[in-house]
Amino acid sequence: MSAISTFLQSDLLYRFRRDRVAVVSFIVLATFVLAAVFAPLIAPQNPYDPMQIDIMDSELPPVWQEGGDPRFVLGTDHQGRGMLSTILYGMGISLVIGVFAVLLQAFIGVSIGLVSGYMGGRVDAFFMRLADIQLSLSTLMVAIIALAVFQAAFGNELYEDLAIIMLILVIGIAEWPQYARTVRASVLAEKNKEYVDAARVVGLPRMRIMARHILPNTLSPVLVISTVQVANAVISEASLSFLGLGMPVTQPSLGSLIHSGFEFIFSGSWWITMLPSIVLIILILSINLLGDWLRDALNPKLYRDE
Amino acid sequence: MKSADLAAFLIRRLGQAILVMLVISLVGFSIQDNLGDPLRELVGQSVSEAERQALRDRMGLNDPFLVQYWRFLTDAIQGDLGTSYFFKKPALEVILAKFPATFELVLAATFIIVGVSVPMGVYCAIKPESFISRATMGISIIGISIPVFLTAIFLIYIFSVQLGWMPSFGRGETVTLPWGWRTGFLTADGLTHIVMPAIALSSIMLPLFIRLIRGEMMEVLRTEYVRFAWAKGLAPRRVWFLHALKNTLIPVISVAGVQIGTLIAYTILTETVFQWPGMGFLFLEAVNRVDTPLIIAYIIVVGLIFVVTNTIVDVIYTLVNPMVKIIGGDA
Repeated sequence: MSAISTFLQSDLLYRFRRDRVAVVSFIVLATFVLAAVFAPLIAPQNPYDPMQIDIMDSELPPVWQEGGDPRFVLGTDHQGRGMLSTILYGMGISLVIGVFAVLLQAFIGVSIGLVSGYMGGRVDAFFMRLADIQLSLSTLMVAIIALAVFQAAFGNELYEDLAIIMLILVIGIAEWPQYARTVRASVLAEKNKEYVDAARVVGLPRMRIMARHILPNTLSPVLVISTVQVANAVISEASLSFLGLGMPVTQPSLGSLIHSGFEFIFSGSWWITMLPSIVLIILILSINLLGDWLRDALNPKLYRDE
Repeated sequence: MKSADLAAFLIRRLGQAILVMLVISLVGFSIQDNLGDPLRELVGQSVSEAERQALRDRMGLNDPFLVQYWRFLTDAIQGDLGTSYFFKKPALEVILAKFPATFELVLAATFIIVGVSVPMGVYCAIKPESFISRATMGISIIGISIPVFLTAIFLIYIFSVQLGWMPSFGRGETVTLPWGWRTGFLTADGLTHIVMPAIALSSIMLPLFIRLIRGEMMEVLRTEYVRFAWAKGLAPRRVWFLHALKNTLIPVISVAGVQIGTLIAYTILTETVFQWPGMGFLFLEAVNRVDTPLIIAYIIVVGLIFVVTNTIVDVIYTLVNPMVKIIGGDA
């Protein structure tokens, strides 16, 4: 109970309530997340179930256009799947990949950043050089090449089953330097403070000092970059799926929905591509706006860099 | 900076570039080693196992790993990256024929990025409270949130499908220059074709650079020497553009170096949407056809481009910035 009341009286919540952009972004994001989580309950159809799909329903426009069918509020795609249902399910896949990829990034990056910052010397130089090279190679480039090779090596069928795991692994591994650098910088600032000296004098093992004493004090910048990282991971996933290297058409994320609908904008069926695109942009934008707010709120020092 | 230090720095930077290139070539080689059987591409299924083994021996496919890698490396240095399965031509030749298209796209996008982000960034730093600055900053966060391929799709939908003003795919009419370079810059048709792809490609970098230049410039404007320049009574233009902007651009150069890899990655997306006949589009086609030599050639060529540009940017950064200390220069 006390944790909740502390939170309710906190400065953070007060600032949040006064920032209209943050509140609106939060509401939009929360709605999207809930809709994606409860997609199996609220979606009018199950787009993965071939029994519920009828090819005769293909390429129906949204209800507000002429020829729309009230069963499919947002129209249907070329396979006869309702856009509303595929978007709800697809958003779930995009979010799952985004969140898990960022958890993986954070796990690898925070561990390396802690060790690198605390140990210093050769270990530090090695990891930071590695981070430089990794960053300059660009996540998307590494991901495209890695997934292209996997796809060619596994063959399409096996790849389709593994796609979601491959995407999480590739996006998760490629972006660790962001976390490593952030955590390392905080560790360098913390490690000469008195409480760390005290822990060292008491004779605690290094692992324990790093994990229990320093780590908690480096978490607020980690939280700040995590929001931006989720947005970036969702963008990366969508880009890869759009190139046909990500989620297969049978189990589409927002990116693969846009991919499979792209050719239809020339024949007038704009909704197959445009609706998932708009949902994707609103999703990313709301995460980015929340991230901006969180950075200003948790990290007044960074405010000027905005 | 002493010239001996500079030489040491250049040698070390070059060594690092070669090391990265070796790693990239190792990646390329291991792909070749694991992806697809060159023998099957060559002879099909009808040849007996004994003959296969003999052929494998003759082609050196049974040699130890290091021997094969060394052969791959020496071939690659001489420009032999294998023969494309699909085009039946040397892979390097196929890739390089597509290079002008990608290069011109990147060049056009760079013009847009520099031409827009420098004035906008400077303006937003000089007048941070003005309406235009606020609007720019607001729009820039929307810009960051729209993936490149969606900008491209929206451009096509609005200007090609709905309005019918702009072409939606290809390079249009090109002119072949004497040294074999096909350019789209010299015809009106070619120029119309490059507008939308270039805007789409620059769209992801623009907000980033506007924000970066604004942030750096605001910091520079707070420094002592700029305040001193004001105190001397210099004209505002002189202070902004001569004193402040010069020092703003130093960190911008180093960020630009890091972004080159990203820009090349985004050409794959842009080229796919606009069916732009460049290297990225070719690469995706090669992936779909499992054309291993072409995939490897792309990775090596793009890796080389990225290592060379990165090294040049790094060297320029070191030469331009008087504050960079070459660490360990005496070693």
